[in-house]
Amino acid sequence: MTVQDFNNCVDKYSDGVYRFIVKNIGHEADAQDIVQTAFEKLWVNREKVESEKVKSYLFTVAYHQMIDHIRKDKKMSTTDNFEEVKGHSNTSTNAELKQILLRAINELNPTQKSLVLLKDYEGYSYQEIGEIMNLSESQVKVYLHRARLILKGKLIHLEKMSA
Amino acid sequence: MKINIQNYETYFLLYIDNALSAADCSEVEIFIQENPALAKELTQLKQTVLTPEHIAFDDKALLYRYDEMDASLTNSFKQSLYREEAKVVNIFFTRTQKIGMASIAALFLLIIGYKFYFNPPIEVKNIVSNSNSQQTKINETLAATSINTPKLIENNIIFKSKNEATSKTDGKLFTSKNEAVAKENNFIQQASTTVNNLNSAPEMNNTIVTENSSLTISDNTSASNTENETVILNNNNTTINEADTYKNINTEEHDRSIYIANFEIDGEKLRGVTRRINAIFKRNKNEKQK
Repeated sequence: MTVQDFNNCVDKYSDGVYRFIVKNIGHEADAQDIVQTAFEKLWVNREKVESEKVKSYLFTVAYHQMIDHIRKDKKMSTTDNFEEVKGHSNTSTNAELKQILLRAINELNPTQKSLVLLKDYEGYSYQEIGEIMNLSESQVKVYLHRARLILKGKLIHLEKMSA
Repeated sequence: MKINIQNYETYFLLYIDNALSAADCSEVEIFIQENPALAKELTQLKQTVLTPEHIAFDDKALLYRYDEMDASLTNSFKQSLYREEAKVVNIFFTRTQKIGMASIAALFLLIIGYKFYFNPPIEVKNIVSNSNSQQTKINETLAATSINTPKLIENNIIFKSKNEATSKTDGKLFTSKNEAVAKENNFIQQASTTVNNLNSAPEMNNTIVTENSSLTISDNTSASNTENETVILNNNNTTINEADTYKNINTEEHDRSIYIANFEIDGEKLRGVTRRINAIFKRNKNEKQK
């Protein structure tokens, strides 16, 4: 990987990695540190990492960094994290529903949240998610479906509460 | 496996995750059309899917890498940074030379130690030699005097005795004259006279001595006036003892040597040299005075 290739990877994947992390931990500065660490590791291992697997490598490194960060810090905020994040979409037809969903996602455990984020934001397959998170494909499927059902139940509950 | 009432939820979840094939997706859509009551459930599941939003990482410049690793310095600048190893120079001796010198020094020290251990120290020898020389000097002088002194004493005694004897007849004036004459006389002359006297009257000597002691006690005033008489007074009893002690002093020639470290200097020769030098100086002095 040349310097130019690396810089291209920065342009292509840094936003996605950052979004994934910042949606998970809800803290911009920490998310930036994690992204920086992930790209530094990529630079160090640029000769080993295949160009096709750069994205998953970055997400893998960032995910594990995030888990370490969560374990160390335990600063996971519950409801307000997503509100702090700038640039969140207001283009949704149902903004209220989106807010309810974001609150519901914040109530998930980190693994479930990461699964949802990787699936919905990055569009990874179960296998790719499994590689990033060191899980089997079936595990990813089960955990993700469980998270969906939890979210569905929360949405129904919150809709009823708001109604 | 086909979608039905028991497994539709799994199909729905896979459907919203885009994990189904196109054929399975069409099956799910047909199933919903057939079961409109379950359509709501599918929409609720669809609502759990997050819509992608754009969140940018602003500080991409922090992540960019530049070609700084390819930057190279000019050869001349690199050469200015090079360091050369300092050459090791043997300034004085090589190691083998040092070892050799050390061994020689050790041997030398051993010899000196051996000498010191088995021989008396040189300083003591010097002192002894000095004392010997001093003793020899003393012996010389004493011997010289001892030769003369007994004679002198005898002479004085005889002279005195004679004087005393005469003084008995002629009075004090006569004795004073004789004493004055005796003062002027040399020791050698005295000795010669005493020898003659001794030869002429050996028997009288003893008797005179005894008389002398008695006389000196009686005539204190006259005895204290002259040097000869004081010598006689002081040496009345000691002269005989001194003569005895002088006999024991060693005055052999071979002891007259001065040791300076291991060098032996003949005392006699040195004396001769010093005398000659003194004589030369005296001559010069006399010539200058003249």
